[in-house]
Amino acid sequence: MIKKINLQGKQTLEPKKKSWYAGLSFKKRASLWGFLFLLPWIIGVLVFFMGPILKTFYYAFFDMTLSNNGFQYVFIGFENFKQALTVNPNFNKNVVAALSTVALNVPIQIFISLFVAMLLNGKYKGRGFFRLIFFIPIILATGILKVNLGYSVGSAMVKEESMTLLDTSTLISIFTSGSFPPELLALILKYVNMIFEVITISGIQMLILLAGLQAISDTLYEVAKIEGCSGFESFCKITLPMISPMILVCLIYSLADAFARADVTETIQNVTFTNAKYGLGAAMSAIYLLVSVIVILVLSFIVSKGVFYYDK
Amino acid sequence: MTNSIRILKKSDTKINEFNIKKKHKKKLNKEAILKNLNKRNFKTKTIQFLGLALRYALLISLGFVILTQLLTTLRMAITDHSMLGMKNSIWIPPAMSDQSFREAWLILDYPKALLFSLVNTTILMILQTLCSALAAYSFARLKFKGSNVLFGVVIFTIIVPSQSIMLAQYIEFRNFDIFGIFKALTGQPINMIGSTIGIYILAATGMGVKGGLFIYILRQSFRNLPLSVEEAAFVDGAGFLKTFFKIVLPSASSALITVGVLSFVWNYADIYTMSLLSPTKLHLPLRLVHAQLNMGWSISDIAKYMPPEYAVDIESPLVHIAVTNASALLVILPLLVIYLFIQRKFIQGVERSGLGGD
Repeated sequence: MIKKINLQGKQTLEPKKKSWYAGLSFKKRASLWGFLFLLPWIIGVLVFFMGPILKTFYYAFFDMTLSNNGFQYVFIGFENFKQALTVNPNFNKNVVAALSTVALNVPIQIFISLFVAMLLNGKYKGRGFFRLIFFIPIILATGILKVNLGYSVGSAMVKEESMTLLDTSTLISIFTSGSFPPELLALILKYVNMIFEVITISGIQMLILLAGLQAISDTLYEVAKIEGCSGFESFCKITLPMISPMILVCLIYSLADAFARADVTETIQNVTFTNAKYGLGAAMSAIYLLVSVIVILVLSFIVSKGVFYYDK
Repeated sequence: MTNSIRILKKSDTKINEFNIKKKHKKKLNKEAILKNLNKRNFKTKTIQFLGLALRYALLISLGFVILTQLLTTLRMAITDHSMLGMKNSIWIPPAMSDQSFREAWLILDYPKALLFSLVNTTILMILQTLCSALAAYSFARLKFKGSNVLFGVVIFTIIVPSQSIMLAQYIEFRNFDIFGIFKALTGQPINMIGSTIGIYILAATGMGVKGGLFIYILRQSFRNLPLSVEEAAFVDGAGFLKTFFKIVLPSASSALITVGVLSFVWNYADIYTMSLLSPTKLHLPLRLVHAQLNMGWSISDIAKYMPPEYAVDIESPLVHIAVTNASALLVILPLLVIYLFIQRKFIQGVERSGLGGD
């Protein structure tokens, strides 16, 4: 009966059919547009991210040669993995080196970034000027200024010329003249030499942490002051918990950045493209990908246990 | 009458005396408190002053550490070739000349390469920022089923080192095909290696340099925008696209500037992707790397274009280093100039972008 009535009144049916979109609730429309907004990224992830990851693992089982007709694949099982882990002299060493630099650099990097962000935060004269300088590392971290000559520079004269002005030899002579434990001295010098290197690659971390510090409302500190907290106490009880989500973000980013910067990537690139051992390169990439992703996931899971969220 | 007045006066004086005594007491109290306060003030003031001094000392010394590399490079680049290797001064070279810069200018083919690099990087920046903004808005406000899972994938894209999937991406672009259309038409998939279109596609689909981080930053800042403005726009009949372009993007402009600057800097310096997907000699940082790898050859190649008063010493490694430093400075110059011009907005963007807070 209802259908018949509808058929009779065609005019009322047609506009409904035309605008199926108008019939959707606002929530449904929002999620439809959400999907459309995300569509370019979804395509990108499927074609240029997930696809390549799966293919990297797939290629690792083949011996690949490039000919005029494109790539020729010959299945060789785990041979590439064996080669990468046991035969190739550099790969093992470089992966271990990457892990140790990550373990050493990243904690210091986050500590220094937090320290600098706290220095930059607050009200003082000339902070615009200092912020201008302290975000230059974002540009310096691109590595363009790194002098990278094709041959090794042999003569001592040249070596001195290419050395940075951050000369620690006077520092060494001051400490060695006294009775200073040499092991401790070596450790301190190592960190002093690292400051420059670390500070140039932590521009983004400083930026994220500074923004995080600025998001903490002043009222919390005022309350702490009235209650008689010392500066150190309010740092431990207010600043650290409030900034902990940002520290987690920094940690994830620094780890990813450190793994991407490591020398292993260069070894892999050389094996893959310079020596044209595509299968071996794929195996190395797969191993390195697994190692770095597992390390980052485990570490960030552990740290995320200590993160404090204000709203939740 | 007079009696009563007297009594009144008496009582007045009494009251006055009493008041004066009270005042005196108060004065004494006040003085004591003030003394105490002054003591405390002095203490806190000295502590404050020391803290400020320490802060400035640390800021200046760390700032110096940051600038060291730039200054060293500059010093070596402006040293006259005859004075290279002299150690009688640390900061200011004994004789300056623009010789290294002239050679670097020729080696890099500077004006042409600069134009190409700037245009290329700007296109990449716009594509990447737009795609990240669209995706970030979807994650922030227009949620649908599974978008939380997809945001996990965004974090995953940040974690995976891009170099490890580069081989597969390279092969993808070498045999580029969309559902086998090109193979059906021409019998072969398209080889995209060597053209810049491959990188543009990567940027436009959010898979460019550190695309995941940009989505994360923009999502945070979109979430911190007041919801009521967008709701008002919807109520007034604006569609989702209109709301996004006319309201959301302008109000998040400071975060967009931050992301735009970062995207520009990283795309400009992304030698790795560039050298694999479109190895063009016109891209400045790529050209710099090639020149560095064979400096002697590069210098001898341009020596004949140099004016005769500059005697070029091709063999000296010191000259190679000087010219390398000069060309590195020329390559990084556009980034520094852009940063100087935009730094105020950039730093404001950091303060307001709502990078902080979750």
